[in-house]
Amino acid sequence: MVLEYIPGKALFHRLDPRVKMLYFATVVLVVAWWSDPIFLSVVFGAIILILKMSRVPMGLVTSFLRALVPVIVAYFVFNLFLKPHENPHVLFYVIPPGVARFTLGVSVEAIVWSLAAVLRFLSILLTVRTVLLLTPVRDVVLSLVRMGLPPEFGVAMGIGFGYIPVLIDENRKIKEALQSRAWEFEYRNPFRRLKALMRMMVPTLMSTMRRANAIAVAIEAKGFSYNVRGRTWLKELRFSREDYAVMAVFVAVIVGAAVVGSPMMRIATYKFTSGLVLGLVRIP
Amino acid sequence: MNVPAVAFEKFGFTYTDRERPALADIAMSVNEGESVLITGPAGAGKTTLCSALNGLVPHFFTGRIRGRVLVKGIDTKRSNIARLSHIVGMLFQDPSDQLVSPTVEDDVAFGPENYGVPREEIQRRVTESLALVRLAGYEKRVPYTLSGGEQQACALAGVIAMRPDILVLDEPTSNLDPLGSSQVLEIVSRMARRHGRTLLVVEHRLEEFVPLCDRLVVMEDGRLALEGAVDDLFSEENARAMEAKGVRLPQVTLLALRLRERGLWPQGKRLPATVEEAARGLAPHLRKGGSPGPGAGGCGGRGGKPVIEVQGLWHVYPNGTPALRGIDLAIAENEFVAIVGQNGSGKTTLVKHFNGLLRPTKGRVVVGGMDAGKESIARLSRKVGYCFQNPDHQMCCRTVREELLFGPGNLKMDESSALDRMAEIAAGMKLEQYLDRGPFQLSKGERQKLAVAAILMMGPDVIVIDEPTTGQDYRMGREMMDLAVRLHREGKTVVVITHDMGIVAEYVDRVIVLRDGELLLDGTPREVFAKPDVISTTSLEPPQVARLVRALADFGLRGDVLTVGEMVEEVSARWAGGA
Repeated sequence: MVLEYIPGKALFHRLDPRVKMLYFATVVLVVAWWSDPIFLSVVFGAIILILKMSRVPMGLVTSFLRALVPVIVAYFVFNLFLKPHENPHVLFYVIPPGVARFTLGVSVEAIVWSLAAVLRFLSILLTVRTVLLLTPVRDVVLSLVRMGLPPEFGVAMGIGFGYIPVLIDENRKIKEALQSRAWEFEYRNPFRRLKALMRMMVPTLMSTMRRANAIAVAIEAKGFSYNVRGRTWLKELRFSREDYAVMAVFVAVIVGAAVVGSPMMRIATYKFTSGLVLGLVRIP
Repeated sequence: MNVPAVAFEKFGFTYTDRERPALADIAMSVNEGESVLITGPAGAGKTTLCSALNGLVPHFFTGRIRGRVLVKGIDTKRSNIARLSHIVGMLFQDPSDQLVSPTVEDDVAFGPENYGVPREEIQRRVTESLALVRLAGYEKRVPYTLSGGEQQACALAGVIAMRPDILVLDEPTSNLDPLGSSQVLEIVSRMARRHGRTLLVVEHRLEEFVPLCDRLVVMEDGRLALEGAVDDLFSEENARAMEAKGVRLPQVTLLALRLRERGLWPQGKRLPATVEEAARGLAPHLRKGGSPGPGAGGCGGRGGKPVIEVQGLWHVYPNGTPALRGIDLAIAENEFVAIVGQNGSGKTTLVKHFNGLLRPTKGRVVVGGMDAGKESIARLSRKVGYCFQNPDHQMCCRTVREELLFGPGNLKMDESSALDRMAEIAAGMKLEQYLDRGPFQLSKGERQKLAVAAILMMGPDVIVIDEPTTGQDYRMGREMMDLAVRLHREGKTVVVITHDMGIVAEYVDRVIVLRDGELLLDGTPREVFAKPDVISTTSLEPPQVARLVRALADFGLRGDVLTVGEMVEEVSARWAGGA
């Protein structure tokens, strides 16, 4: 999941990783300022469009979204009751007046707000996913180092990501070795299952420690501690003209979103859609 | 004045947590441009010796030092790992422990980056090093997805890119399959011929590496047991000394020794290490013997009651790769079978169907009357015991005792009979004195025995042993195989997965050769090795003796000779004199 970089040559692939991070920041800012589901749908559509333009198979996106359905539903319901609204237009009550000391109703405003919340949530997740799918790990590490992360952490991060498939493979072997000695993993009860997995702790820890030590030896033997601050990188990050153009677009989007979402304009807030719905359906 | 590349001056080293010295009284110097082959059993101090060159000893692995090591005149104790690594490049045994970057090119660049080499220069070195190891075009690949041989080649490119004056290769082929080994061997032999680079190689496979080196060092118990020019160490006297020390001499060297005992090999000459040398030495002394004699014929005891039946087995992995494509075979009770083939040929995939770790995509596997496609792994494990290659992946308990009782406990076996069985197995495997120790306190050889013992505790009729000799020294590998022979004699059906054709020739009744998920050959070792052209399509190499027979085809030797003993008889029968 973390290492699913899809090679390609489309615009987004070519961008400097720092521009891709600006993209992420742009989405975060826009969805923070906007709370209207119609406006947010546009943002969501734009994210999908970028994925499409970069030739990411849509199957990957839909399977990702499908896996999130339970979380999305929970998040939607949670948001229905999270925010108190002024003069809510209640559609129905979960706890009607008179039953308890408080009421719990679902209003038009709450539904619109929750829709917006879900769209915000999905936009951010999908953006993270876009950046990861379209950026090699090395570039992520490199741009973090460029932004001030100490190089030793950068190298460690790169090694960590690189070893994920190796560790997964090793874990599988350990599991199979235990299964071959009649150890049962497939319990329905999640607690028993967890307990069964605990058996893997000792061999996993031992092999991870052994490997960590071997890696430490290997990188020392390649001069890692020679002069960490003075180390160079095979790939250099340099902004191209394309990068500047795209950055300009993102900055424009940020400014525009700020204006549209500002308290003075108050267009991209959830009251826009609620007002629209109320105007159309005329709920008292 | 000419400073030697490496000089050990009465060097000794004892690791901090040990009592016995790992190295003692090492006095040796290696000149610039020389290539030295170092061999000896596990625990002899070979890796410690290598680590002393780039400062890992004593700066990473700490301990007590005696004497000193000079690398190009620099006292390693007064220097540090980073500075020494610039001079001494080191390649380790397991490629997956050394590839630390997300892409091949980053990995090769890692060393030069650490030394602050300018970007353009790094790029140049990456291109050059990858070309040298024949991995040009692999720049953007993920190291983890490469084959073992390619991974080791990539790691080697990373060492070369640092432009070290001295190259140290610590068992570069021990963890690889035959194809990977020959890839790495080919690269090393090209580099060894390059003028001016000093090369130290630790290896057990003398047959391949002796021709590449000028000097040979045999280590034992932290000391240099034998040391000298290759020609000198392959004299009769020294070869006998090496044999006595448990060095795995090439088959043709042993052949020459045995022939000498009968007064048949020409006197006063260096003994052969390769098939070509042996053929050249023997040819003038042999009589032409007409047409090839008949083979001894099949000797496998097949035809017993089948314990494992595989019918039309296909296995397709979730990513769509077919790993097995229509395998049909039956293994009878008390057979001793080797399954051979390159990595990726489907060996492990096949045996994982025997105890239900994998289920057939298509076809059927029947194990002791049970449908292995449906039966639980736990129930199948009573019938088929699977010993994994790495014993450390199998140890999950606090003590050896718990480890042994783990399987029986999972199977809810009767406790007193489990304890009886433990007493018996522990005694048979000489593990009794360790029962209350932690499994990880045992030596690697003992841990491997413990892994087998833990499987035997469940009382399976069939034992599958996955690569009992890979990554092991000769003696440990032999011990494992002797154990397998014992189990076979006790009536178990034994299946070994192996790359070692020597094991196949010497131990098993039957060989199953897989290629690309299909069954290529199935027969006795004699039958299989008598088809060298078919075997060569799998890049597996028949044992030296079998190749020598082929090289001497004109003399009409029996075509199915496999062991040194048989070859001695064949040669004696045709000796024309001239000794």
